[in-house]
Amino acid sequence: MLGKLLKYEWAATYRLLLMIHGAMIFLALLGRFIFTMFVSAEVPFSLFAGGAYVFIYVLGIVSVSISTTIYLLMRFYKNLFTDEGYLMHTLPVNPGQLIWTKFIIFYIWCFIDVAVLIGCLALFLLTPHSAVIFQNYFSEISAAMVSEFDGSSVKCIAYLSLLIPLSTAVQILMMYFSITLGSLMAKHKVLAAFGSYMAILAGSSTVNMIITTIFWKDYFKVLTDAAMVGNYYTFAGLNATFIPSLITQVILGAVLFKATHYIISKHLNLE
Amino acid sequence: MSVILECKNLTKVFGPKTALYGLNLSLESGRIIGLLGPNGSGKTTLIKMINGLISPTEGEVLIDGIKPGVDTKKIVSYLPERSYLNRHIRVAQAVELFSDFYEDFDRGRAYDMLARLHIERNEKLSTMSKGTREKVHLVLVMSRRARLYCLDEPIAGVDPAARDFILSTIINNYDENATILISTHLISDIENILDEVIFLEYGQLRMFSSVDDIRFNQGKSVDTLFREVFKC
Repeated sequence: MLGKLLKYEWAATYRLLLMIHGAMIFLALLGRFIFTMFVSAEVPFSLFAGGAYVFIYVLGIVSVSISTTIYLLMRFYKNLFTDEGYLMHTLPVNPGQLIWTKFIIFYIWCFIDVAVLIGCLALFLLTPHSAVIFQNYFSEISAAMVSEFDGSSVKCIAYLSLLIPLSTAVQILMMYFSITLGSLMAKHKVLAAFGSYMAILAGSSTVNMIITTIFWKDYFKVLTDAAMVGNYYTFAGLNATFIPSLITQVILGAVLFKATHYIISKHLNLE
Repeated sequence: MSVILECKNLTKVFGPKTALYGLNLSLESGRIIGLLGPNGSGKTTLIKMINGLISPTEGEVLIDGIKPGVDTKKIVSYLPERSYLNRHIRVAQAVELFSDFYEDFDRGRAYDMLARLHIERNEKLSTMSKGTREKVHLVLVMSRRARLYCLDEPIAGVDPAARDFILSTIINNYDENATILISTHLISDIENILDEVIFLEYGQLRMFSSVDDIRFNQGKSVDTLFREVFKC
């Protein structure tokens, strides 16, 4: 049944999302063309137009990403908590399968989003010259990260490979749980959902800070020691908090899924 | 005759409001039963509980001896009061969806009924009138060979000719071993097809009787009795 649900969920969502991501790719190609043909001539107006195009394009990329998220969240709400819920919750499937379906499709689109974003930026901005700049930049970042893992690139890759997908999953579940919680209200459901999300985010950040404090011995030194302040890097403390962070994310994700499942199973409140 | 639906001390409370209180009911298979009562009497609450959309506060509801869940959804066909299909889909897509998820769905019967209604397979639900959309919903629900059909206000909001079609669809596609539970206010339109009636008031069972008993022993139509019982 999960396969069937996924089939219908994908069919219901892919057209619009494919169109807006397609538009993003088209604009990247157009931007590339503009830069290649006109901006390289270094005529002042074309440079201004090129700069403006980059600005608008970056706004467009951000908008596409936000639109994808909002569209899929609205789909989650509309399909499970409004009139369409009378169909979805009377199909011979269990609530867990309904949640998994929405989650998997959202997850897939998160990765399509990032892939298209990176691809478009490369299409738009990558030249032999800029490639060298980007390569140097990423090398510096990688070196800084690997150094935090005692020079072990394996550990570093493991960290990124686990934490990024996990964090994405937890973010989706956080949003789904907030919407599910908001659906319980008689009025102001959207406000309640938003408020729940902010509360959960604050709680999650607090837990992360506690973990950092407990497991990263140099945390307070970095904050207070004048000699260390200037040496504080973005990735400091990753090695120390790597495993506790992963465990916390797994627990948080499981709790959010279970809580969403419980509310939908026992306290479904269709409009 | 087996018992298809059983309610044991079924109670549902929504905050300060008690929608159903201590309902005890046993419905046998092979009947068409009218679920009648004034607004707010608990009819829709009961139907939603049968379909697993609401959980009881106390007591239990059993469909063929099982609590509402995945297994009961396979044998219960539900027509809610509201339109529940995405309006952007076509009729053929809705038929495919039902065919995909319900093993008891008869695609041939569905297309046959749609053809008789002159509803095109490629027509989008959003381009249809309310009455035509409701007919599509009814066709989908009645094309299943379910054990229990729950129809919540199937003839409200449609013209008299459409009502006749809906009632004839119910009768003509009715499996003798199945049970149909119809919730409605339009009693006079529907009482000719009913075997039994349930009267609900303030979430409690007011009466459960056969239509024959009301007509022959009490000498009244169900509609007349309803007006007497629930006189304002």
